[in-house]
Amino acid sequence: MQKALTLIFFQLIIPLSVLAQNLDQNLDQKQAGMPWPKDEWPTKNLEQAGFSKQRFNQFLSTVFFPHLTFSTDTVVVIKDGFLVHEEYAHGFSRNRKHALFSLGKTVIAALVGVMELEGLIHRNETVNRYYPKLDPLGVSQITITHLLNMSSGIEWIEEDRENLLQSDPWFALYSKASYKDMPLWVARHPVAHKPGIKFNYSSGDSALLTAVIRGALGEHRHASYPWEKLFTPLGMKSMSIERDSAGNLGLHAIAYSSPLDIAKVGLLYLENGLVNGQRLWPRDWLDFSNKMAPAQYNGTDPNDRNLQNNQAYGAQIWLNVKRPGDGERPYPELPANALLGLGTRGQILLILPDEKLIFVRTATDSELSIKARKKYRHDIFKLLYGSLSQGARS
Amino acid sequence: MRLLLLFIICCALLPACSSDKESMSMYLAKEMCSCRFLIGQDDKQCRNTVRIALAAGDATVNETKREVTATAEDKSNPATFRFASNRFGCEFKPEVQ
Repeated sequence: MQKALTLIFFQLIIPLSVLAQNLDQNLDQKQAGMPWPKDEWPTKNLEQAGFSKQRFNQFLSTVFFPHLTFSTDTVVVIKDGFLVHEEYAHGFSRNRKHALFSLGKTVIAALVGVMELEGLIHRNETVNRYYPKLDPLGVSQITITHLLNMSSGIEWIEEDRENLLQSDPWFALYSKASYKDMPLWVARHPVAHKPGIKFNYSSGDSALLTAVIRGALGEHRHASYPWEKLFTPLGMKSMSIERDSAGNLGLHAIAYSSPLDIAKVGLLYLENGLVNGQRLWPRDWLDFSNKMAPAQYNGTDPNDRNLQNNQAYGAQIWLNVKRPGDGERPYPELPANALLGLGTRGQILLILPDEKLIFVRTATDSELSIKARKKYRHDIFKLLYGSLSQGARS
Repeated sequence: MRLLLLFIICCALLPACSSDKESMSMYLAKEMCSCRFLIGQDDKQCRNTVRIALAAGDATVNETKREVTATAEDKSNPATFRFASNRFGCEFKPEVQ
C-alpha cells in the first residue's frame, strides 16, 4: 500500500516538476531578446540604432570637453545589444582595463544573485551564518538583504558633510590596518542603528558582502567562483579583482575591467539574468534589485552627515525614483526605471530598461563638490537621452 | 580620490598628520602599481592620474620586480605594492616595511 502511494506520489510530482521546468525554459526562451556579445559586441551605426548623429555628437563633445576637474577616459554606448559608439582618451583603449571603484558593488549583487540561484546563499539569511566575525555572539540580525540595501546599521560615513577628511572609505582602502583584512576592519566599527532602520550608503556594507560570499563558497572555491559562474558566462574576459592581505576579493572598490566588459553587467540587468538562454540569477532578482531599500521609506534627513545618502537605492545599485519627501526623482531627464552604478572619480554605468540602452563612462575626475558632480551627470544624461529619436524612447 | 586634495592641504598645513602620511604612501603605491602593471598605462600617464598626491609624496617604480614603493614627502611611511597576476592585480607587501 505504502509502495503504491509512493509510486502515485512520484508519478504526480515528477511530471509536475518537469512541466514547471519546461514552463520556466519556455518563459526564458520567450524573454531572450538581445544578442549576447561573444568575443566582440555586434555593431550598429548611430542612425540605425535610432540616434540623431548631430545631437549625439553634442553629447560626445560635452563629455570629452577638456575640463579642470572632469576628465573622461571612455564612452561606450550600447543600444538593443548593439555597440553604437566607443571612444577612448588618455591612453585608454578597447582592451585596456579601467578602475571600476564602486561600480564593483553592482557586480557583487549580481554574484549574490548567481549564488542564490545555485542554492548557495539566500538574501534573507543572516550575515552571521557566513561571516560570524561581524557578530561573534550572534546577537545582531543583519541579513544579506540589509547589506545589499545599505541598511546594516553599522556606523560608517561614506562622504562626511562635517569633515571630509574623516570619511571612512579613504582609510578603508588606503591604510595598512585595513589592508590586512578589509571586511574585518569594517566589522570592528560600532553599530549605530538596528538593521533595516536607516539607509546609509556604505562601502563597508559592500565589503562585508564580499566576506559573506567567501564564507558561503568556502576557501577552496571563493577565489575562482566569480570567474567560473559569472564573468565567463558573461564573456567578461578582462575582469580583475585585487585582494587584501587576508585574500578577500575587493570587489567593492578595487576591481578592474574593460569598459566593454562592464557594459555586459548592464546587459545582464536588461536581460534579467538571462545569458544566451541560460538563467544566471533568480527570475525575481531584478524586481528585488529595483526595489527601493525599505529603510528609505523611514524618511530622509536633509542634514544627513553622509552626503552619499541623497538618492533612492536598491540592491547595490542607484535608482531613479522619488523617496518620501523628494520633490522630484534624482534624474528627471531620464525615465523613472533607470538604474545607475556610480564609482568614485566619475565612473558611470547607466542602464535604461525600456530603451535597452547602456552607457558606460570611465573617468579620472577630481571634482570635490557633490553638487558639481551631480550637475555634470544631469548635463550629460540630458544630452545622451535627448539624442535618441522619439521612436527610440519609451 | 576626491578627498585627496583636502588630505594634501591638511598635510601641508599640519606637520603632525601621520595617519594621513601613511594613507598618502599607501594610495600612491597601490594606485601606481595597478595603473602601471595591471592596467598597463605608461609611467607618465600613471603619474598624471595620481598627480595631486605626488605633491605630498613620492613613488618609485621597480619595473623588474613589478612593484611600486611610495613614501610621504618627508620619506616617512614607506608602502610597497607588488603586481601578483592579471587576475588579482597588485597586492600590499607588508613584510618589506
